[in-house]
Amino acid sequence: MDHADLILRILSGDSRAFAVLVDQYQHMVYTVCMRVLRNPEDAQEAAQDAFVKAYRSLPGFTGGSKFSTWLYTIAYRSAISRGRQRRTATDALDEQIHHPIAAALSDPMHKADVRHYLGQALDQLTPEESTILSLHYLDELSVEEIVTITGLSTSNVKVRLFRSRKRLEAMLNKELNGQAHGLLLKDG
Amino acid sequence: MNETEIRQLFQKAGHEQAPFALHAAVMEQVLAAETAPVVKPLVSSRQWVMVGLVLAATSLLAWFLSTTVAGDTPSGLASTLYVDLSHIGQALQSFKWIAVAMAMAFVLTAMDRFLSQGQHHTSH
Repeated sequence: MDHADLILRILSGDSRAFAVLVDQYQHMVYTVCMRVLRNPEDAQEAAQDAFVKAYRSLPGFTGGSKFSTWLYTIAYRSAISRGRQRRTATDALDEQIHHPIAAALSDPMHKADVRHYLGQALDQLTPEESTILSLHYLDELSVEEIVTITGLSTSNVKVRLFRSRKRLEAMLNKELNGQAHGLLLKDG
Repeated sequence: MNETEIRQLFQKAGHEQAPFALHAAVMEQVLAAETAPVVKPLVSSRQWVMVGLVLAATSLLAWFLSTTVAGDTPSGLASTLYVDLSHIGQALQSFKWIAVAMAMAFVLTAMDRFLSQGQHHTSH
């Protein structure tokens, strides 16, 4: 069943059809919230808020953009709003900046955990940069879609995308000391 | 690392795993929103606009008529067109408390609408 059918079902009163959308997008929405807030509890609450806002705003979804872009926009704004309210994002950032990737490498349990390495590196970027990188390289969204989600200008997104990728590359190259290629070759 | 490898790294890492409780928490709120009683005001916004217009027109008319000097009757052609509305003005003067009551009702209903909206939001 495609999104249009699901949305029609939800708008006609079948709220349980929304569960399909939650199921499909919960990890993506949670990832966006985690990139911004860097705190699992806050990210969960922001993701929850985003889904409830999306449910309430569904009658206003015109289909002018992809459903995922529309939902990411709500999630991103919800996370930014929560970050401003609680200011825990900056606290978490300050805390994590002092955790170099090398510390994660010292633990052999984490050595093969690509997500962990990448997460450590992304946490050293600003929340905005890590969100943009994730949207582009993980969700494979176009620059135009990221512009819609973040509200930044096209040139701004392009510049930030380029700079943050370079910073991430430099960090991974330095910290992983060439092991990143190995991580890519490993299964799982 | 080049851009392709960065992309591969992201793809291999995948999304953050949403907590198990997220799905249930979202659906709980969504279903609660569905079953929550929707408080609808008895008088619609359009009706209140009409009431407001009538009230404004009545007030203007009352003010206009109250400025009419009794006994100041026009003569000639004007007298044929003249309608003595002073008795209506006097009647409206006596209804000023009704106008005040209507204004109070308007304010109270507006507050009721505002509070019911607030209650509706907090019920989620």
